[in-house]
Amino acid sequence: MKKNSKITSNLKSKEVVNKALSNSNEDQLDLYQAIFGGKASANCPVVAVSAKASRASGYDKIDTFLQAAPMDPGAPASPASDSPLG
Amino acid sequence: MYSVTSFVLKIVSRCNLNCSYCYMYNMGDQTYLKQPKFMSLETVQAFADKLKSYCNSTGIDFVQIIFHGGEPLLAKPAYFEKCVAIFKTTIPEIEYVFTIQTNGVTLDDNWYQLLQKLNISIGISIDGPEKYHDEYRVFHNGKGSYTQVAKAIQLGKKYNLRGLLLVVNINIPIEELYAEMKKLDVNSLNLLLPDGHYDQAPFGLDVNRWNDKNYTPYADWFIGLYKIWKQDKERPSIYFFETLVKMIMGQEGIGNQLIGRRTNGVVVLESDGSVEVVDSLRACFEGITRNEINVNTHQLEDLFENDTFQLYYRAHDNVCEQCLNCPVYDICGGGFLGHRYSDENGFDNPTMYCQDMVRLITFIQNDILASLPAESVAQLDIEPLVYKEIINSFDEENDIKIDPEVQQTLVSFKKELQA
Repeated sequence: MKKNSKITSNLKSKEVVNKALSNSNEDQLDLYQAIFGGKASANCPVVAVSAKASRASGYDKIDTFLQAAPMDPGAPASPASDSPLG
Repeated sequence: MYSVTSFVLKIVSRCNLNCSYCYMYNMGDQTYLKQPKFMSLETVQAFADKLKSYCNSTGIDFVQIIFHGGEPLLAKPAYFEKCVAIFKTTIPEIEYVFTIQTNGVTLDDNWYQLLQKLNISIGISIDGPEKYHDEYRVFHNGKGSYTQVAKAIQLGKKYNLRGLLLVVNINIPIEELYAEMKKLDVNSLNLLLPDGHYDQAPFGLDVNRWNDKNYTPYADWFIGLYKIWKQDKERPSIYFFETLVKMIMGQEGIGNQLIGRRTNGVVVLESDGSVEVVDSLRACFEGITRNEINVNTHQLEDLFENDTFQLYYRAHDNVCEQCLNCPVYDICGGGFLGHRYSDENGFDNPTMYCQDMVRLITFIQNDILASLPAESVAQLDIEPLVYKEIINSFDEENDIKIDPEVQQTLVSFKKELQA
């Protein structure tokens, strides 16, 4: 029987993690809070992708194919909200 | 139905650099020599016409156009203005994202201003600090290109470009690499595993240790970098790591051709108008991406009948039996198709970076769990992954059996059968 590799796989577990990310001031969670928007850092930007682009793209805008992660000129440097709650 | 929204235009088939690991020029495929040096504007128009037909019939209203090469900036500035105009005039109703991937050596103010005016995002390739970059990313006379690239990166800050691609070189001490990224004030970085496969190991890999279950040089390197990155409160965005974190956390619908379970909706347009599957597969063997389909004589959809495209499009579903039974399969997706190739089994292998990916994913999952408050973890139905357990499970009998038809397809790509 395969182990589950994903930390959240249902609404309840997503709520648990989201709550932990939102409420904790632990330094060790800083990275994960930055990635998921819980603690915004201007130095950890997520490239802005329009709703249409994110829905329709065959893969992520910044893929290993595109390979670099250029900032759109004029795009905000703040990270998009990217909660694991989805 | 195949949903392709990303189109890589090889507008220039030659390059002003001669990088030693380049899949186009230095990994066994010489087909670029038969291509025109530049994609004509007539070919761009023919492609745009076929793209319009494809988008109209499928309802696709967003596409990425990636100007690629060779080195795309060997084309003239006016070429890009005309290209963008062709797309916007031919199919004005769809949303575009234009991107260029360049080696950066000719990027100057004029280029930045033009590309910004045309709203073309820019990605620059670099291999790290000067002595490492100049070992591989060299001009045809053998001289390194670091000075020019670093200058272009510094200049790019004026235009809000601080995003880079780095092909991983495990010989670079991670502290040196990280210091270099900080020096260049990079705020977005992506990491790319070197091309290679079981019969053509990438640089830095000791093939004599291939069967050593503890040999994970890439994971070791990644983990070292991850630890430094995590500690840095002014950290840049590292897309490869962030994608892994999101997937391990449970976020759905993300991934790319290297990781995850998404389909690979990518098509490559060669400079002569040939429509092909992603060209980095060429590192497997000569001609693997070749077919008779051309925008001047075919519809884009004709590629969808191509065996290699079909395999690549669903590469993260078409995996070997070991992957099907692996606990990290949903994260790594079996890896990039090209990394799975061997002359013996075709694509019926795990990625050549399998152990590295298992080690890295295990590490990140364990780190997230160790970072979360214990009371939160206690509420989750999750156990920490254990690298050794996973690797040892590969020797056991598999619960999930591979579909014989899928296996036959994977094996059918053996070079000798395709010849």
